[in-house]
Amino acid sequence: MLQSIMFSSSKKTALICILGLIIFAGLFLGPRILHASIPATNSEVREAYTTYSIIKTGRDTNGTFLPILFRADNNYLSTLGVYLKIPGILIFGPNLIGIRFLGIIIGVISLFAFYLFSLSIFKKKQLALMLTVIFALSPILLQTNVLSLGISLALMFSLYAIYFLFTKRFKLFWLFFLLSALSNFASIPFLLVFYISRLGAKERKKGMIIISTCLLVFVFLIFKFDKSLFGYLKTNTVIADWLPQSYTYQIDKRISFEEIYGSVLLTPKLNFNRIAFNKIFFGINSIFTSFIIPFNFEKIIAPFQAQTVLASDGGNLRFFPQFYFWELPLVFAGIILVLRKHKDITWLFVGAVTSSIIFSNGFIFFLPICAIAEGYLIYFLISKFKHINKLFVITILSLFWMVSYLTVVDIFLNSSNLWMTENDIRQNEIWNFVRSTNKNWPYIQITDRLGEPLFYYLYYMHVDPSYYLQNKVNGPLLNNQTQRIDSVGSVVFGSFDYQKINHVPRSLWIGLAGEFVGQNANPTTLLSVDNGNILNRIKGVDTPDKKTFSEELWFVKSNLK
Amino acid sequence: MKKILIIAVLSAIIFIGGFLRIYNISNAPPSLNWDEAAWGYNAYSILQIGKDEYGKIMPIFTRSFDEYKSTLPMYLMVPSIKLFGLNAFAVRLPSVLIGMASILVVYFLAKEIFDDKRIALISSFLFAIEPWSVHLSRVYYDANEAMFFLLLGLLLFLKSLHKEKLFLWSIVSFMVSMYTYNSNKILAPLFLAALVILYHKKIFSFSKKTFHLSLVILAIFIIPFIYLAFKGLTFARVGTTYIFILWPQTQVLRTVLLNSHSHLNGLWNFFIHNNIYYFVWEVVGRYIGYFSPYNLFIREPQEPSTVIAGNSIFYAFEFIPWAVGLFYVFKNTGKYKSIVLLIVLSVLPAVATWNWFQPGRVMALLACFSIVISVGLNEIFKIMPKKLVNLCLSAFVIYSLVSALYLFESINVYSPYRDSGNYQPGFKETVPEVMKIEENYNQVIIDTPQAQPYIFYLFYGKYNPKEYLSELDLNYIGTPRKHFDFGKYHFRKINWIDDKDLKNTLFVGGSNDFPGVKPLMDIKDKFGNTINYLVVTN
Repeated sequence: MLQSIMFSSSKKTALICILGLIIFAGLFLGPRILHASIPATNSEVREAYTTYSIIKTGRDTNGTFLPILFRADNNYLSTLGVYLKIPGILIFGPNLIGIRFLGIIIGVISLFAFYLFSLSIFKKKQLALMLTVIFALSPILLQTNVLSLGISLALMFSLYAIYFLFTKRFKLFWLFFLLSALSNFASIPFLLVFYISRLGAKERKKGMIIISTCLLVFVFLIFKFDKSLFGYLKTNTVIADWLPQSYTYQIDKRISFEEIYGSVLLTPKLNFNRIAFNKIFFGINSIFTSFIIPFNFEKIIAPFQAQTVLASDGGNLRFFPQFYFWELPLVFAGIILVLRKHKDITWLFVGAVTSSIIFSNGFIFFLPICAIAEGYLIYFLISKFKHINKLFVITILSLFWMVSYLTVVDIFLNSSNLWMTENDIRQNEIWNFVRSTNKNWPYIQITDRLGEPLFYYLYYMHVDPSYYLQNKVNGPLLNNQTQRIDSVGSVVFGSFDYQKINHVPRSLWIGLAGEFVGQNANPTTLLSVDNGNILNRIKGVDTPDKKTFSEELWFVKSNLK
Repeated sequence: MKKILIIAVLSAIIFIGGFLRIYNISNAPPSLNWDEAAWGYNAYSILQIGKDEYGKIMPIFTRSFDEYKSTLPMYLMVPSIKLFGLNAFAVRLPSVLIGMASILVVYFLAKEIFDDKRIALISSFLFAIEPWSVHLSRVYYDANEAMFFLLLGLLLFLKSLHKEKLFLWSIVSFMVSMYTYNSNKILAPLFLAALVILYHKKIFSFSKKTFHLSLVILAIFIIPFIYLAFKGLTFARVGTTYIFILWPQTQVLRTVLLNSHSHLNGLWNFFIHNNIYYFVWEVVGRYIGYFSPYNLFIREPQEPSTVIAGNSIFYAFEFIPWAVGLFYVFKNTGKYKSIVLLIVLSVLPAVATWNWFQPGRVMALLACFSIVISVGLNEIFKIMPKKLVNLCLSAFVIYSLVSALYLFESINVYSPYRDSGNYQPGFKETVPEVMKIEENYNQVIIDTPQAQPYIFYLFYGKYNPKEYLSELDLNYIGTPRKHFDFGKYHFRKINWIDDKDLKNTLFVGGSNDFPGVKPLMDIKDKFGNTINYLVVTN
C-alpha cells in the first residue's frame, strides 16, 4: 500500500488505494466499535442526556431554550457536540450507537481535512497521502473519534480552518474558527497562535492588539454576565494552577515545619526561608510547571505499564495510550528534520503547546504535528534507500504498524477496564443492575464516592427531561460558582452511613461496603446488613477510599416495612 | 571573559555547591541506609585489619548483602574514617568531595564540547545546585563516583584528541568507572567502544606506544573483570533487578489476554498480543521514561534513596532551556556527537532493570542534561536583544539561588521528617543504648522489620572487626546469607509467650512484641516518637 502511495506513477491509483483503505477500515471497524461493550464516558452521558433533553423539551438540563453554551454538572459541554448528536439519538435512541456513530463519520471526514492540510504544507500528494495514513492509524484519533465528539469536531474544523488560511480564504477561516470554538474551547488558542504567525510583521503587531483586546473584552463580558462560565474557566484551565489558592497551603505547611522542627534560616528577627517560601516564588514555579503538563510521556505512550509512576501524580490512573510507544523518538527526530524546512510547523507546535497548557484536552492538536513529523522522517529516510531496500523497509514498517494498530484496537474494544475510569465502568454496571431489577423503587440513594453519578443515572435510566427539570433539587452554590444536584425525585446522590440513618421502607441503597457496615470492616465475610438484604455485590472496585470503605460495591434493599 | 573572573565565579559555584552538599550531612538524610552502613563498616574493617567483613583481604568486590558491592567507595572512606572515626560524617564525606570535584569536571567538559565559557559556567552552576546532584552527593551513592570517573574519562578522551598522552588516563578513568557501579559495568565499556569507533581515525593516528599501552591498561582492567564475572561477582546484582522478570508475559499482557480470551483464537492472539511486542513496550517505555519531562521536572522519584521531599530531579524552570538545548544538540549531532552518544547510551543499563525510573542509574545522563540546559539557555539568550541578556541572566541566577534555598530547606528540614522511613530509621538511636547495657546480659534478641539489621549493629556499635570475624561462621550463615547473628546478638521475631522465660536476655522490639510488659527503656527519635522498646528478663 505504502509502496503504491509513494512510488506509484499513477496518483489516482494511490488515491483510490487510500480511499479503499479508509472505507475498508470504516466498514470493518465501524460496526465493531459501535457494538463494542465500551461503557459511556462521563462527557458522553452529559452530552447525550443534554441532547435528549433538547429533543424532548427544546431546553437543556438547566431549562434554557436552545442555548449557545451548555452547562451540565459544573462543566461546559461542546455546543456542536450536543446539537450534532440530535440525528443519531433521533434515529437510534439515547444509546451508545446513537451517540457514537457520528464521531466515526467525523473521523473519516477529518482524514480528508488532514489530507488537505498536509497537502497545503508540502504540496506533494504522495507525501500528504502517506501522512494521512499515519494520522488515521493513531490511537489518540481512534479514542477521540469514538468517545469525544466535541474534540473530534474541534480537530476537524481546525484542520479545515488552517487549510483555508493557507489558501487565503479568510472568511472561511473565521467561519471554521467559530465552528471549532463551539466544538471545544481548546481550539481557540491553537488557531489564534497560528493565525498570528501567518500575519506579516506589521500586521502581526496590529493583529495581536486586536486579538488581545477582543479576548479581554470577552473575558470581561463573561465575568460580568456569566459568572458560572467565568468560574469554569478559572477552575478548569491553567489559571487554576496559577492562582495562590493552589499553592498557599504548601507554603504554610513548609513554614510550619520550620517553626516546629527548627531551621538554621529561622532567626528570632527574621525567617530567611521566606525568601523561597512566598507566593511570588511559588507562583512563578507553577507557571513553569504548567509548561511541562502536556509532556507526561508515561501517560502518552505507556499508561498501562507505568502505573506506579502515574500513581504519584494522584487522581485517575487509567488512560488510553495516545501514541504508539515507538513513535516518540521518530516524532522527535522528525520535528528536528521538518522544522528546518517548514516554519509553519513550528507555529503549529507552539499553538498546540499553548492550547494544551491552557486546556487539558488541547493535547489533541499535537496529533497533526506528530503525524507530519513522523511521516516526514519516514518519507525522508525511505527516499534515501535504494529501491530494493525501500521495499523491505516499507514492508517491515507496514507490518509493524498493522500489529501495533490491531493491538491497540483490541485493547480499546475489549479491555476497557485498563483505560476507562472506574466511575464510567461501575456506573454502567450499577444502572444495568438497577434496570434488571424491574422495580419501581420508592427511594434510591447512590454514593458519590466513585464520582458524580447524576448524569449516568439520567442517561442509563432514560429519565424524562421534563421530570428532571421539575424534580431536581439543587445543592448550595459554592464560592467557585459550582453547584451540584443533590437529588432528582426519589433518587438521592451522596455518600451515607447506613447504620445511622432512618431508612425509607423497601428502598435501594447503593454504596461501598464501608458505608453499610462501618469503616475498616472486612466486608467479604459479611453476608447481611442490619435492616437490609444485600441484593448484589460488585468486587474489586478501585476508589481512593478503598482502604477505609473497602473494594466492594453493595446494593442493599432496606427490609423495613 | 577574563580568566580571573572565571576563576572567581567558578570558585563561588564550587563553594555554593560544596556548602549545599556538606552542610549537616550527619543528620540529613537522617540516618545511614544499608549500603552506607555496609561500606562504612567494611572500610572500618579494612582500616583495622585489612580485611572486609567476610575476611577477604583487599577485595575488588565485597560480598556485603550478596550483591557484591563495588569497593572503591569503601576504599575512599578509609582515610575519612581514619580522620573522623566511624560515623555518618566520615562515611558521607568522600561522596561530597567527589560531588564537588564533579562540578569542576562538568565545567571543563562543557567548555571542551561547546567551546563556550558561558555555557561551561552555567553548566557547572546548575550542576552545583540541582536537586539530584546535591542529594546524590550527600547520601553515599556509588553511582556518584562512577559518574565522576565516566565524565572525567570523557573529558580526558576529548582532550586526548589534541594531547595524545591523556588517552591512557582516559581509559583508566573509564575502567575505574566500570568497576564502581553496576550500570557503569555496561555503560563505561560500551561508551568507550563507541567513542573509539566514532573517533577511530584520530585514535589510529596515535603513536604505537600509546596504542599498545592502552591495550595493556584495558587488559589489566578487563581480564579480572571477566574472571570475576564468571565467578558470579561482577554481575551478582543483575539477578534481582533485571527486566527479564517481566518475560515471557507482562502484567498488562496477562490482563489483556484475560479480557480477549473469549473472542480471539490462538493465532490472532499470537499476532496481535505478542509477548515480544508487549515486552518491547515495557523496555521502550522505560527508555522514554528517562526523557519524560514529568519525571525530570515535576514528579518526586520513586526510589526511596533518591527522594528529596518536595523536589523533583531538576527544577521546573529548567524545562524550557532543557527542551531547547536538547533540540539544539540533537540538531547538531555531527558537531556534538560525544554528548549525544552519551545521552543515547547512558539510559541502556537502566532500561535493562525492572524499575520504571531510577535516577541513580542514569547519573551520567542527568549530568549531560545539566549541560544541555545551559546550552538551551544560551540559545534563548542568543535570540534576545543584547540589552536584555544581562538582565535575564541576572534574573536567572537570582531565581536559581532562591530555588537552591528551597532545596536547602527541603534537605535539612522537610525531608528528614517526611522521609526518615527511607533510611532504615531507629538503629542510630537504639544501637548505642543497647551497647551501653549489653554486657549485663547473656544474649540480645532483636526484632526489626528492616532487612540486614546486623550491619547497623556492627556500624553504630563500632563492633571490633577482628572479634566479628572470629565469631562469623561462613558455613552457618550460608550462601546466599540466611543468618545474621553474631556474638550474643540474635536477629529474629520475638514471640513473648515463649521468649519471656529466657534467662538474662535483653530484647529489642516494637510495642506489639511485649504485651503488658513494662520496658526497661523506650527509645525515641528526634521528633519524640517511640521507635523501639528495650525489655529485659532476669
